[in-house]
Amino acid sequence: MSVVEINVDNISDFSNMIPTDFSTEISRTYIGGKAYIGSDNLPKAGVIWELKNSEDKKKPNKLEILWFYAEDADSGNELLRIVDNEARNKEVLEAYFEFKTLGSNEQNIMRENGYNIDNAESSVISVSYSDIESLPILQKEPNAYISPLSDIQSYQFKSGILSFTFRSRYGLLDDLPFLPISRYDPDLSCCALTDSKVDGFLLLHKIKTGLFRVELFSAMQPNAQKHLLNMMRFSAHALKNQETKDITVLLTRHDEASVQLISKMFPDKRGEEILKGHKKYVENRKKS
Amino acid sequence: MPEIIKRSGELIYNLVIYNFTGYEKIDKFILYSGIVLIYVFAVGIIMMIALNSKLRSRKRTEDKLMFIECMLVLALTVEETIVIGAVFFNNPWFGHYVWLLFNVINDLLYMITIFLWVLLVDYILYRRKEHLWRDYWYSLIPFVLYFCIVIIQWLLIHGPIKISYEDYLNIDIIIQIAKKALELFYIVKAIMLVRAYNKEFREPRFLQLNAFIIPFLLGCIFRSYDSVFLAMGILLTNITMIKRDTYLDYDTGFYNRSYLEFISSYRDQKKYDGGSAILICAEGRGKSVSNLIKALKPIDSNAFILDKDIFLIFSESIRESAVKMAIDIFTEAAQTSEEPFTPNIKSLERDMEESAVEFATRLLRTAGDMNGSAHRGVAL
Repeated sequence: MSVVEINVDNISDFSNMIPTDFSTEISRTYIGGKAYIGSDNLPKAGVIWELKNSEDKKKPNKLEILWFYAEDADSGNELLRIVDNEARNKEVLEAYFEFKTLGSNEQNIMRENGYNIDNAESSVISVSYSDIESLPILQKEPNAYISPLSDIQSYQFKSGILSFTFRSRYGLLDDLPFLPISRYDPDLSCCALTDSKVDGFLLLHKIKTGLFRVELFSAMQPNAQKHLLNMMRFSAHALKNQETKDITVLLTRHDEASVQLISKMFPDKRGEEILKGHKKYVENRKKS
Repeated sequence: MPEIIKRSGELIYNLVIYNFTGYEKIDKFILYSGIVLIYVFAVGIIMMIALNSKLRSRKRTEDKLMFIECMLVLALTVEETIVIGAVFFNNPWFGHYVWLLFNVINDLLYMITIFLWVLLVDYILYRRKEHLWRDYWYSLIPFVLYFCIVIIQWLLIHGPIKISYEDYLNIDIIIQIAKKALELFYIVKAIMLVRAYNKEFREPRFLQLNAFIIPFLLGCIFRSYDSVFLAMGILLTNITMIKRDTYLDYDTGFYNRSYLEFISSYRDQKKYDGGSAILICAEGRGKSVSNLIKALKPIDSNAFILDKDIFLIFSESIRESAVKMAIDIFTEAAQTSEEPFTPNIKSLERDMEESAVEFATRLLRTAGDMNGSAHRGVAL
C-alpha cells in the first residue's frame, strides 16, 4: 500500500478512474493530486485539488477538491488526511467541493472527515448555442478592433495577460500568467486591441468537443463596457461558424460582476443542482 | 435705492443676454477692453508656443492636441480682427452674408477648440491614441448638423420663403442654445472621464479641469469676452501640463525620479497601502530596455526611468505569478531582440509596516546597487 502523487507523467495510469479533463490540468501550478495504491498495485482512491487565492493577500486561502474517488474508507480517509495536511501547510481557511454526483461511499468518507454536505445550486451556468444565438444584443456585428486569439502575436497575448494580472484580474484561474495561449480556443476566444495592445480578453478553454468554459472575461477602461459587449458579439458570431452546433458554454459566477452580468444576460438560467461540501480549518489564522 | 438696484439688474441682464447694455460708455468700454484682451491673450498664446519647446516639436500626442488648440484660438483672433476691422471701417463689402459666414466660422472654431480639450483630457488620463479616433468620431456629427442648420437658416432668410427678422432671431436663439448645450456636453463629458478615472485609479494625473471650465463658464456669462476666456483656459491648462511635465522624462515618456518621490508622499498622505515594483537594469542598453518596456509594459501601469540604464515598473498590487511572468517576458524579449542582452531584473514588494516613502527609498537604494554593479560611477 502506498500513496503516490498524480502528475502529468503518470496520470494515464489512472485513466480508468480519473476523468480525462484532468490529463492536462494536473500540470497546472496550483493543482495537486494523490492516489492510493492498494496491496494489489491497483489504485483504490484518488483526489485532485486546487489551491485558491494563495497569492492574494487580501483573500483567505481556499482549497477546492476537484475530484474524489475512494473504493473503501481506509484509502479515502488516508487521502483526505493528506489533503488536510496540504491545507494546513498552505494556511488554508476552507476546503470545499462542488460535485454533480458523489457516490454514497465517498459522501460518508467526506462527512467522517469533517465536511458538511448539502444540496445547492451550482455557480456554473450552462449555456447552449441556441441560448446565445437568440440573444438580440449579440446579433450585431462586432467592431473591427476585436481580434480572434489566432490573429495576435504571442508577445501581445503575454503582455495582455500581464496587464490584467497587474491589475489583479485573474478571471477563474490563479495561475493565469503561467498558462500558454494554446490553452484557449483560437477562434472563439478573442481580444480587444488598442494601439496594438490588448485591453480586453474573452478567453474560452475547450474542455472537450463542444464544451467550452469562459476563463477570463475582462476589459480595461476607458471602454470596458463597449469592449465586453463587442467581444461577446465576436465569440457569438464565431460560434455560428463552428461545424457542430451542439455546443455548451460554461459561465462561472465567481464574483459580483459575473453574477450581475450572467443574471442580466440569462435571467431564466439556473445552475444545476449539485452537492456542495465545505470544511473550515479554524486553526489557520486569517491572513492579515 | 430700489431704482438703482432695478437698473443695475437690467444692465447685467442685458449684458449677459444681449451682450449690449444700451449705455454708450459701458458698451464702448466692453468693446474696446474686449479688443485689447483678444490681442493680449493672442500674444500670450504665441509666447506660450515660443517658450515651450515641447509644443513646438509636437512629438507627443498631448502636445499636438494643445498646439492645434492654440492655432484654433489664433485663427479665432484673426477672424475677430477681420470682423472688428469691417465694423470700424464700415466696409461696404462686409454685408449680411459675410457677417453670417464669419459668425459660423467663429462658432465652429470655438466648438472644435472645446472638443479638442476633451480629447486632451481623455488622452492625458488613458494615453490611448486609437481610442480617441475610435470613440470620438461621432462627436463630429454635431458640427455637421450645426453647419446644416445654419445653411437652412440662411435659406429661410434669403430663399423663396423669406421669413421675418423676428423669426430669424428666434431661430438664431435656438441655434445658440443648441451650440451652448453641445459645449456644455463636452465639459460634462470631461468631468465624467476624470471621475471614472479616479474611481478606478488612485494616482494623480495633474489635470486641473477648473483651469479650463471656469474661464469657459465666465465666457458663457460675459459673451463679449468668450474667445478671451477660451484663450485663458488654454493658457491655464498649459500651465498645469508644464507642472506635470516636470515629472516626465521627455525622451522615453516615463516618469522620473522626482515623480517617484512625489507619488510616495502622496500615497502616504492618502494612506494607501500596497505597492510592488519591478526594477530592470541593463548596462549601456537603456534605449533597448525603454523600447521593450514601451512595447510590453502592462496597460495603465507606471514606468519610471531612474537613470539612463535603469527602469522601474510600479503596480499597486501584483501577485507573485505576475512578477514571475513579467521577469520572463522582459528577459525573453531582451534575449531575442536584434542585439540580444540579458537585463538584470529584480522585484520588490512594500512591507506591511513600511511607508510608501520608505519603500521608495528602498527602491532607489536597490536601484543604486543594481546600477552600481552594472556601471560604477553613476550615482542615483
